[in-house]
Amino acid sequence: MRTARWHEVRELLISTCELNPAERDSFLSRACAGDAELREEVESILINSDDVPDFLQTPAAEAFPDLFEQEHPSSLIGQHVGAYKVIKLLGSGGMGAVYLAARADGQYEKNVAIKLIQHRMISEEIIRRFHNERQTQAKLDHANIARLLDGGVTDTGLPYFVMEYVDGTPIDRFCDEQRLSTFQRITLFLRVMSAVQYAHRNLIVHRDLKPTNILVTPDGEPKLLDFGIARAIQPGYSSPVRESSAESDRIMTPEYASPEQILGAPITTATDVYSLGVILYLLLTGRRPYDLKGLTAAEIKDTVCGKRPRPPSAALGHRQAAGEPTDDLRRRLAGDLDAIVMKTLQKASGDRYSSVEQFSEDIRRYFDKRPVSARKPTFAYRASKFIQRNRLRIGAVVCIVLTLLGGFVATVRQSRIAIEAQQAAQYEARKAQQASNFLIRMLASVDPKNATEGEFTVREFLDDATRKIEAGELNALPEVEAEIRFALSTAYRKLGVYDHALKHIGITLHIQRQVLGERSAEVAESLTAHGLIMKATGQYDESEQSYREALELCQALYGESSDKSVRIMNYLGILLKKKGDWDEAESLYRKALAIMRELHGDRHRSVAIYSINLAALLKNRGYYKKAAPEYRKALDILRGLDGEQLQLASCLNNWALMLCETGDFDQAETMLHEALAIRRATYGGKHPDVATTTHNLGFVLSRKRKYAEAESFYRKALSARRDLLPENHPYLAYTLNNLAELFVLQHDYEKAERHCLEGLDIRKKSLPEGHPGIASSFLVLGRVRLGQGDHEAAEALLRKALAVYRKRHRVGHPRTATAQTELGNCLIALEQYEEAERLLLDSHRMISEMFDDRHPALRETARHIVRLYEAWGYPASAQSYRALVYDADEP
Amino acid sequence: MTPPSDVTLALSELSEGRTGAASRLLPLIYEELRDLANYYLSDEPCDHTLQPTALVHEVYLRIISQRNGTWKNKSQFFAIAAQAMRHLLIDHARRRRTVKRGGNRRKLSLDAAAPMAFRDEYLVALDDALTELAKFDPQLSKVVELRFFGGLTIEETARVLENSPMTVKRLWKVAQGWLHREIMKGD
Repeated sequence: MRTARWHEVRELLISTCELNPAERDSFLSRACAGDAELREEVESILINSDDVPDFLQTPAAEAFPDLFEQEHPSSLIGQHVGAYKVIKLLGSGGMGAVYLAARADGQYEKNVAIKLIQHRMISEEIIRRFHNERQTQAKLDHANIARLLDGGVTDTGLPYFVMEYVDGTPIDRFCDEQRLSTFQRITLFLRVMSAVQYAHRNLIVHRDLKPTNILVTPDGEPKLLDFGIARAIQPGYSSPVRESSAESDRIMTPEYASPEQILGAPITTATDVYSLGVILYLLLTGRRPYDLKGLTAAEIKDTVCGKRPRPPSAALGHRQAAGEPTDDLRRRLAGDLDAIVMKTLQKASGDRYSSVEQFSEDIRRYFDKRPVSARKPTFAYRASKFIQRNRLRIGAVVCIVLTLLGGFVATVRQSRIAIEAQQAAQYEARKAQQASNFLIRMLASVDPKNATEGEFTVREFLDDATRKIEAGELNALPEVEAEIRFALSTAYRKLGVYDHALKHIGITLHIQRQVLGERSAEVAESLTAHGLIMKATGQYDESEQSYREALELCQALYGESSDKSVRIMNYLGILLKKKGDWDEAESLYRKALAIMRELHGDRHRSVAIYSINLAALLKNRGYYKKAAPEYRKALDILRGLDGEQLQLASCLNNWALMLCETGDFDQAETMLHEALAIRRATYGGKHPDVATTTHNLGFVLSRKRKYAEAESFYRKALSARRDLLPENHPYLAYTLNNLAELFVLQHDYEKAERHCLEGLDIRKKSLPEGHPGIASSFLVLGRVRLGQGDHEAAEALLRKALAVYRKRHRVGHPRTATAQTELGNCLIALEQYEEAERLLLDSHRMISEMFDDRHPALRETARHIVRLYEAWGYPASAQSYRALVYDADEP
Repeated sequence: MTPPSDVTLALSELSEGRTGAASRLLPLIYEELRDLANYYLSDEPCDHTLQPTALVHEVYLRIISQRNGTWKNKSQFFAIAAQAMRHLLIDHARRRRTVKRGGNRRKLSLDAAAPMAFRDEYLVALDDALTELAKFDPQLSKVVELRFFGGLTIEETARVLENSPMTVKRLWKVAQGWLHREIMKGD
């Protein structure tokens, strides 16, 4: 019966699943008249869906992250493996599981660790090789190497190793938990190195050195685990040809693997030198040389084999962001330790230390303040080392003389590269000199008497500078001209003088491309600035193109997680949001915010800014509850910082807009006044941001039914926007459309129509089809037509608006609800009561789900519902909604 | 890791609407997901927590990045990824399932606090029911796959199925009701 009648059952389920019990009952009584079996089937499913609203709501993977865990043969616990009885599971990883076990025959009391290899490629070959390896490993007898005691193959054919059980902490965690100093860390690390050195002398390479394989016991003794195991179970060991193809089966940990391991090239002791270098890097800085998180295999390969890591002294940004003092550490790392660590991280194994011995010897030289082999033995370097060693003995005067002499001799001896470096330094100095000369001349020429009313404004300064450059008075290198023009462009943009801003940035880009090359950092900066101007003037496609070029360039130059890339990602996100491309915008914002937190910590101003942007986006999508805490976080950060007034104003403005949507107009008004005061104090009266806040105040006042005040704010905003913005700017349309709506509210349809049509015309020219902005014009125009009595035209417009909102916003967005309410209202006039009822009730439900019951839109909708039932002839139904219209705070 | 070329090939076939492309892509994405899950849970302590809903998106990004962003049909991809996720989870559950079959199913629970064995049993029961549902109403079964296994929102699901969110919301409710009844039914 199910299959045959399913279609019928399904139809009924779909029409009734969202009805309330009473509606459902009457509906089903009609639909299933005489067919009790049908009704029972439908109801039994409905009951199930009503009873457990949470059923399957949380996505599977989220609900059970543990479902992803590897399967442990938990049955092994309590069983015998060789001569040992398994006690418990200690941990598990990619290679297999490690168990705690004890001798079953009671010969020794000592506990051991059993490592069970669960590898996809278990084969006879591996097991045979494993036996050979075990004999080699057994030779290792060193206090800092965990002893391999035994090994074999379980009944089920899995190889296992029995090792000395070490109760310890991974070395990186140990150093942090014990708050070891840099000196103590290096001393501990030297002991690790001596153990690796010992193994190398016995011709055993570890191949998988990493902190979790180096445990430190509570009494501070380091112990290396798993020596030689990687090699024993390495597939393709006997046939080098296979090795290079079976990339995924190679045993290694990418974060610590050398380029030759990643590439599948032969492994030597230099491989361990590399991994040790990574570990030392981590111990000194708290970071690994590369962040491989989330990279694909190909990207990991590119990074490890192609990218040069930052020297340790330049990798302390995260600590600084966390508020730690880093200057001392940076000074300590810069120079010798940088050179030593960087030498271990060379891509070609031949460029590294040829042995761990040499590596540790260099560290000892550093401790003794002797020249380290990792650095170029220039006279200056050796002299400085000599001075460091003998500072006390030779005294200050001699030191100074030697330093000068060292510098002089070194200059004479320097290689070509050094001479180039020196030329570069001279060139930089010349550039700086020319730029500052220009500025000095500029400032000297500022004569207060020439300026209007005695005070020289920024604008006049900029115009004067522009004139001087155009007149050829700069007389400097083209790069310097580019830099100055860039600065001028930025200043003009911030003042809202976009035509000047655009002209300067265009010339800047042209010069930079010619002099510095297409793919230089300066070009990326200028492209970003170009994008900003284009966005400010409403040319979104051009803006997007510039941002994307700049972002691509930055990522190529600085890597994925840099401040520069994040900045552009943020701009791009804002733009995409403007263009209505929300999914990509949200993912960009979240990515940017995560990178910012990672780079600078939680209370940094940029974290506040990115939170504001994310909040604004969430707000636009109707996720108010998710947005509010983001705003609060941002406001909290900004109020705690100095000199962030403008950012504070922007945050207040945006949050206020959201409060408008949720109906909290009083709070919104307070916030907007604060924002307006800040902006006026900073910019004076004529500025696009002042206009925006003025416009927003108009909106709040219109919602508070203070129509005259609202109109005056709107008009101020409109005239400022007409002066400051280019023709057809979408912001003009906002104000026009809002003014139109204000007139609708006052039943002045003639004025409303005029303003609305002008706004719509601008939007059609500046926005893509299907943009919610256009829908919002349709919505107001629909209301105008309704007011004018042209119901058919109104209906068509409102349907168009609703269709756009439904497509663009999630279900339950306030704009969708508003459009539905308006359409419902219009349908009452057209006497299409059934559809009107469905729309209005649905809208009412949506709004009451989103907002609390004081929200004005709720009352508005209830008012229409009452009108509907009265027009339709159901006064009793009308009565039940009438209470909702008046009982809130209506006088 | 799966050689990118296979995925790339399957993806381009899929975008060209070639038959069978989806079924070729499925095991590849499945592999990716499994590798990724294993990577996250490897013994290397790392600072990211496992957020498996992000897995689908991350795998998507990883695969997309290998195609230089020319792959546009995100919806189609999500549909396949959801299917892969279902297989991944159910395979694990089936393999791990150690409790005896039968007994009182009402005790089985999807509650995260419930013993793993019960949840495994539950997931398997859900999978069976979904397979049954697909026989006479593939659309409903798809909605559940996308929402529950793929972690998609109503809106995203609607985009994949090219249906309005309102419709999808109702289909989802109906599917929930049917499945719940089916799973709770005594044997």
